[in-house]
Amino acid sequence: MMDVQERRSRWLGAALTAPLLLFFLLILAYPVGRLALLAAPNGMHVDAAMLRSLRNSLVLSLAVALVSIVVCIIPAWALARWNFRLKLLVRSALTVPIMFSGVVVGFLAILTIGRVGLVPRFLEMLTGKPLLSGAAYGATGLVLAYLYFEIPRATLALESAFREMNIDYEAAAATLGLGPVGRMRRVIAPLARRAIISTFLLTFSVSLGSYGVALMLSRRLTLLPVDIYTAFTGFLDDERAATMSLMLLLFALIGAACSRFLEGTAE
Amino acid sequence: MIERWGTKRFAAGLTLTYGLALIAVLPPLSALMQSFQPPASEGWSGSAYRYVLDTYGSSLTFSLRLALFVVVASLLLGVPAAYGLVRHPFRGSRLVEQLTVVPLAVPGISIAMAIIIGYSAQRGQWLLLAAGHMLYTVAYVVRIVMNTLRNLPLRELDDAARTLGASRLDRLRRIVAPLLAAPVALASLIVFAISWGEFNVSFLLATPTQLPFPAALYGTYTSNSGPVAAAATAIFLLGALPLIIAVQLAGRSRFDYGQGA
Repeated sequence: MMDVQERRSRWLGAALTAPLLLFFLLILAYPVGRLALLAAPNGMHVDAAMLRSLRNSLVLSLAVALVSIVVCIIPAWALARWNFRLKLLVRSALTVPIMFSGVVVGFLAILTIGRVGLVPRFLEMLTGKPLLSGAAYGATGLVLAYLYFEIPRATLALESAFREMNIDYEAAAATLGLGPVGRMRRVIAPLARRAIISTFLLTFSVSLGSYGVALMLSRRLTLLPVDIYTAFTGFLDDERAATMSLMLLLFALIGAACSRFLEGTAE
Repeated sequence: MIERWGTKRFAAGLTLTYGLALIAVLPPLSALMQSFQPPASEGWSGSAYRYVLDTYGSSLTFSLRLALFVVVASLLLGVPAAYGLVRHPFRGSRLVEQLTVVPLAVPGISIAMAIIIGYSAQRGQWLLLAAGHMLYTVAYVVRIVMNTLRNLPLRELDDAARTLGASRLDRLRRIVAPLLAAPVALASLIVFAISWGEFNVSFLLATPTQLPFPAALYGTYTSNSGPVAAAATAIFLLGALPLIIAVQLAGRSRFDYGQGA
């Protein structure tokens, strides 16, 4: 009797999940398969230009992820653990850049650090020289624009990870006489390490796939997502675009898989 | 619980936190200021907002309708799946659970290319565009609903109701539905905001008659004057409000921000 009920429950679960699986099959697995088939005939030919763009993308994303994680640790901790004024407002403010798609960030970068942007005009008033004028179009501007949306993203992601951390261990350590520095080193740091690495990888993976910012700003520096766009719309070279899309997909998935793996072992 | 030794560090940490929040809102505020200037180079005497509404109004309504469709469709796919995964686990359900978050890691441009190549015959259909958005939004629905189902004593309540003689439909209506109302509302806000702001898939799958607003926004950046572009950005920002509310509502639940946003 129990057995029949158990089997019915399993079937029901599978049936409720089936439409979602079918959706993934149709919109993710099948199209990516077709992409691979298109890239395969020329032996997934990877040329020097593609490798250069890939390298640029990887270096930029790594740098952005590194700076983001270093900057976001303290604010994330503050939001998760401290009580301070306007906390709600601060969190709302940090949500704003996350919401913007890349092109909006690119536009805002031009407004603030473009040729006649706010920051250079302000600095000209202070120093007499329009410092940072036109920075938006170089590598500096690209990094700043990525940081603009990656730091808040990393902060909020890390904040929720910090909140999930069990405070009982800290309380126990404090009761047993461990000072604040000792608690930070021996209790908090080991617990937070995985969350930090996982957030780092998430940031890296998102930066790698972002292309709106570069589409607006990148003049000389070639990045993989922009190259895909130009290969597809500019040169109508589907195979090249397909090969590069797969390269991008692969590296983004590796980053995300490592992140998930770390999260999975965090318990 | 801040010890005396930490007061200085506390102040420094707070300054950094406030500073980040300020930097986050300054650029959009400066865009907002610019949007109130008249768009002279368009030969337009009215406000820049009027110009955007007149020229890109169809994009706005298209994006709005698309986002609402994506919300409903994502809920229809995601809520039953989440319920099935938690209440009726089956062999391989853990794997399915892992699978739902995979799209969040996939770069939008790769997905857009894949969809264009995989469905070249159907190109230009809005359903394809909606499906591309849903790839990113369904994961949020599944995750939020699953989290709620796991944390609430749903099984106990459900079993109690059953022993008291409530039918399956009664239990669904009286117990499951009310418990799911809050997470479903939260997920809807997030899904709406993601679809409204999604650029990668929208831009590549757009057609001139079905131009989502983010893609139109790019058009204003490349071909319109500053005030018009700024006004379009400000209108676009309105769509961010649901997400901001959602993050406040989300409170203690865990929530990652993937490629979609």
